Amino acid sequence: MEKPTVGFERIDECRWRIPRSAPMRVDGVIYASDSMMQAIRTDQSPQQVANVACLPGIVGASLAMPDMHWGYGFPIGGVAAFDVEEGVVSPGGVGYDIN
Amino acid sequence: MKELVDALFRNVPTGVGAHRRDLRLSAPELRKILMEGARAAVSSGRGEAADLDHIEEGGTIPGADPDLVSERAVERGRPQLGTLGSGNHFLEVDRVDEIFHEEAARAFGLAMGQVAFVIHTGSRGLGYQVCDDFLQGMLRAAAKYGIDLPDRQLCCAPIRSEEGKRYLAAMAAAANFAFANRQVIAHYLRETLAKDLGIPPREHRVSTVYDVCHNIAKMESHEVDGRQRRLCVHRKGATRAFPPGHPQTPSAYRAVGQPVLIPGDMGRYSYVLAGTAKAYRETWGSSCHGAGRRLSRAEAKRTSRGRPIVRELEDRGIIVRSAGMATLLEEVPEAYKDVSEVVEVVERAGISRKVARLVPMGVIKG
Repeated sequence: MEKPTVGFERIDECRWRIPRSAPMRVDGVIYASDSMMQAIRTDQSPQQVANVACLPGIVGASLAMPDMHWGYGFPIGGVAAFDVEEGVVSPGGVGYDIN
Repeated sequence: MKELVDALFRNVPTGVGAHRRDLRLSAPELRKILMEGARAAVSSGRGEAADLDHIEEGGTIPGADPDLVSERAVERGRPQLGTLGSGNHFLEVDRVDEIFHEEAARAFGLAMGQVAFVIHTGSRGLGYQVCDDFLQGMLRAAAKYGIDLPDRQLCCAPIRSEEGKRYLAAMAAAANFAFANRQVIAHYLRETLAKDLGIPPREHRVSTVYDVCHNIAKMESHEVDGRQRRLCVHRKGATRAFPPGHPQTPSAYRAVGQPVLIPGDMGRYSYVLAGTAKAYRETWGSSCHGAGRRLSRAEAKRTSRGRPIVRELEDRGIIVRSAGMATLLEEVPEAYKDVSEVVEVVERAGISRKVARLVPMGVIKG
């Protein structure tokens, strides 16, 4: 699968949307201030937020908290919910330091 | 303070070349820990039963299957119970230096000037190995179930598939090991206060405010478009932040929301927040976890090489003890975003409320 394209739209003071584009199933939403967003834009982690949005059964949006940074597969600071019947579980969504 | 930090450094092994000889787990004991988590630590005499109410899921993630934890993971984990580990893990002695929300602070038992301890560690080598063990199988599963991936690192399996269930059961076992690990460290901490500093429990009155997961997939019910749905919520470097009134928010905190613990870097602050109804609606009851790295470990090491980190922090009134210099260089405060800015965003967004700020006085690192 091709990686989705990442664009940013401001939602409000603290939230930014990565609008859904194929093959994303839902939007990405990042919680960040203006100054944090400057650094985040240059990082690979928004691409990871968009990638997670492509997974089957994802509900709502692929979310990222303001402490987000690059992680294995899913960004660190990432939150994603999957429907129990149609969704998936991914070790990369938990990471190596399970706890 | 120096005496306390030195005693803690002696008694709480980093696990990086330091272990306690008085804790050798037998195979059945480790099995019990993988099944029961913090509860098993308490029943073995290492921990306080009263703490269990103040741990996510009561310190036990249900559905753990120790048989799915590999031999290699077990071998790695067995000597590591009650150890901190390296990287961003630590034990901190802090002072409460600001209260933002009086009612919540009172409910959490936090007051200005009070000493607080922060334990930040997880499932150590055992959890690492569990993750590693499952990645290849998950790649095969994704292919088998026809899941197209934009990145191989997102390998996954349907939640209801055999592969999905097996991962969740092994993950639960590793999470239980992490709960037990922190409980044993809390026990060593109380022991240090009582034995090394001569402060009996009735005087030090150390109790757990909260123990929360931050790298986990949890089965939870949430409202989606007006109806309740069962979801598997992945939180990776993110913390559960359940609202006031939620049945899983401990009864003592029911009026103010679940405590959310945000460790910062070793030179600045840590925060205690509380979960909100807005977080429950917007983020599946989740908030940030920490400051978040600004520099990679390698970059941090390169830019801080040769710096006298221990002395720099001591000049700021922070006593640091570490098993190795390499960790300290990777963990210099400038390697992280400013935790205050991170916390400001989650508060302004309404997904957590600030309750108290803690400043470090002593830090023990792996």
